[in-house]
Amino acid sequence: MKAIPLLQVLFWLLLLSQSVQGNDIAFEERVREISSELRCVVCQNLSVADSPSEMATQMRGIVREQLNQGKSAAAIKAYFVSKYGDWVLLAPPRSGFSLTVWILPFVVLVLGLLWAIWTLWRWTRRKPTLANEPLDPVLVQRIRDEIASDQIPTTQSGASLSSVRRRAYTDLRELELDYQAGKLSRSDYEALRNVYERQAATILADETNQEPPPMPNTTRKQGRDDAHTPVARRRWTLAVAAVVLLAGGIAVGLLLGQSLRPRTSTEDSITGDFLTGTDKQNSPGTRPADLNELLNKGRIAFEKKELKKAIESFKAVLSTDPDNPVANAYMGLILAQAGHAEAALLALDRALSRAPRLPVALWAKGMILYREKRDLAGAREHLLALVRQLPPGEERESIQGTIAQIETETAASGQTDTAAGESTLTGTVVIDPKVLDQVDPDAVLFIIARTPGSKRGPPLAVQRVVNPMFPLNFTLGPSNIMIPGTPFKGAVDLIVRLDKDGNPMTREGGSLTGVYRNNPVAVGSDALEIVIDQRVGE
Amino acid sequence: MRWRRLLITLLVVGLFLSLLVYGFYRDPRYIPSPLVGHSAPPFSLELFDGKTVTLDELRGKTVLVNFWASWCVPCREEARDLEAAWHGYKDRQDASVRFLGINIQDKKESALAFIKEFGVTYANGQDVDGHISVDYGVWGIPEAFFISPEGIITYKHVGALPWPILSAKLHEAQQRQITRESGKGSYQPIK
Repeated sequence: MKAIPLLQVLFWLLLLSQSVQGNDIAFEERVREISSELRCVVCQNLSVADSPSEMATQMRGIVREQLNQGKSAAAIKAYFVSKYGDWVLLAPPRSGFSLTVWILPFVVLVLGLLWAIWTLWRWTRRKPTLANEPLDPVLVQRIRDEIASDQIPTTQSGASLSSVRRRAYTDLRELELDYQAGKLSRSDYEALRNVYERQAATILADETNQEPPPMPNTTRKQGRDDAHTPVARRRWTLAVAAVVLLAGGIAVGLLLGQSLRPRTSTEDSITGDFLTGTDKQNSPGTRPADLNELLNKGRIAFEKKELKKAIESFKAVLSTDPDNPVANAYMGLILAQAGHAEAALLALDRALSRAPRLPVALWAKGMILYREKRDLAGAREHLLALVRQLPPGEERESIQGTIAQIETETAASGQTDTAAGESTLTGTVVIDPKVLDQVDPDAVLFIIARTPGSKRGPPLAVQRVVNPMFPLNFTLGPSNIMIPGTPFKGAVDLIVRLDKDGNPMTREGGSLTGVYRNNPVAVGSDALEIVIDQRVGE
Repeated sequence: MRWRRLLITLLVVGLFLSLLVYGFYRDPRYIPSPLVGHSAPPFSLELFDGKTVTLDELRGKTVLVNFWASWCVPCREEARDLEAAWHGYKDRQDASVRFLGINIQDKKESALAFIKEFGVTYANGQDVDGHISVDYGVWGIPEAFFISPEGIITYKHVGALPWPILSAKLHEAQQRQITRESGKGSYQPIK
């Protein structure tokens, strides 16, 4: 393919096709954007964009229609609100009573944080009081002596105080035993002994009418449940745990929020990133915005001649949307540059089957047919289709020049548009009434000529007709030859196939076929009638 | 101090419980209509007999617009009642009441079979692309709109329409009396 003189044209076409397809994608993205803010009226907590329901489809249609009329997103949303009320908005308006829905979570969050800070502050404030308050050494010594002498002290003030004191002494003895038995570490033992001696000192001070050392309330409340827990450390552990829990909660909330996304189809997942283990970019549910981004990346890489990167991007698009016209067109261009004309044509056909006017695909196919396949009629047809879309200017003139060149070569070689004469087959394709109800309106017609008796391998010639209208007149000639250089003469088998997915290689259900009743037929015959009368595979 | 704590706890628990009770008693599908008391959205409907009717043509008459589908069970429940009511109004000399059935989300053959089965004689047509349904904020069928002679929606009823409500609300529509609260019977969410 002599691409160098046409590089300028190619660049311009890339821009044109980018803007045509880019506009389509941007428009659909806008439809999706607005629909995703509207609540599906027949589902629960699904947006109009995500719902597969008939009603949501109709609502999306209305969004599309109103966008086409030039209405703004706000006006479209206002239209739906006027019909269904604020209920139809997935995010309630930030005014009036609905404002509380927006504000309340933050108020609760701030209050919760303030409460957490206040609680932590109280906890941490207690520790120094507990640990550092000096004890009366006389009282401590007396307690130790009494415990050591194993006496049960008697008091003047009553039995109740004695029993309290007895319990405090018992606690201290048990603590001592636990420590001797190795059940407690030295630091825990000392911390607890400090607490219990403080309790005992308070009791003793009460009994002997002495002023007790200042004791925090919590120390008074210490029960037997805490007997083996270092209080100060426990509080710090709790404080740290609370902070870690809070931070963990916020982190999970944020990450989970980022990893969720609306489903683009019923097969799609609502999750998609490292947190949930789904690859976002290559997952089947890549969103139109992602597709657009990938297409742009691919285009930029292509223009910079970083073909490997470009192929990666386009492949990622095709893994989500196998019929994406832009990605197929660029893959076609890349394949053509690599010298794989056949594969390039397949990719370009796929692109054109979905976007028959895609400039870059028309240009690439036209040029491959002209330069590689020497199919002058086919090349002229595609380039003419392209010229019809182009505004007057240098690019248009350049392509018109190529068309004129093709026409000159056609005249010189004897090829004509209709390839009339002895080297053609002409006739009509009709549909048998018995299969009329099985005809898919979007099916693509293939008129195929094969070497007589051959069932496999590439056919001799193929003509592809998009949106066929029956009865359909056809002419099959050298311009439809599949393998360049092969003569179109002698006898051939004539078959037609009305293919549901536009790809004759697949054998999906619902495609129809017909075989010319007097096969083989001599090239040059006319007024042939082929009847489509059976399902593929029957 | 203890009382204060108890009061706060009871208040918080009470608040959450009331929210829970409210949630249980509320129909999550129910959508209050903002259309009642406002002008009925205009439309043009192609009837099954090939004629076309527009809402503007019916100005000056009290109109009952009923959205229905052949697959909707409550629509079948009310079909005979509606037809019987129509018989009561259609023979009046002033012809001041018109019934209009709008079939939605349905196949034409199924809709025609339904009309034949229940012997429906009032005007009926199909909202093919859903524009009229969305214009009227339809979400459950059958859904009936009562429109005054001035073209104001005076009442909306979601679900099968019992005869006493039908006649009372038609009378109110003739008197231009608006009931903002939508009526509710057994209904089926649309598809």
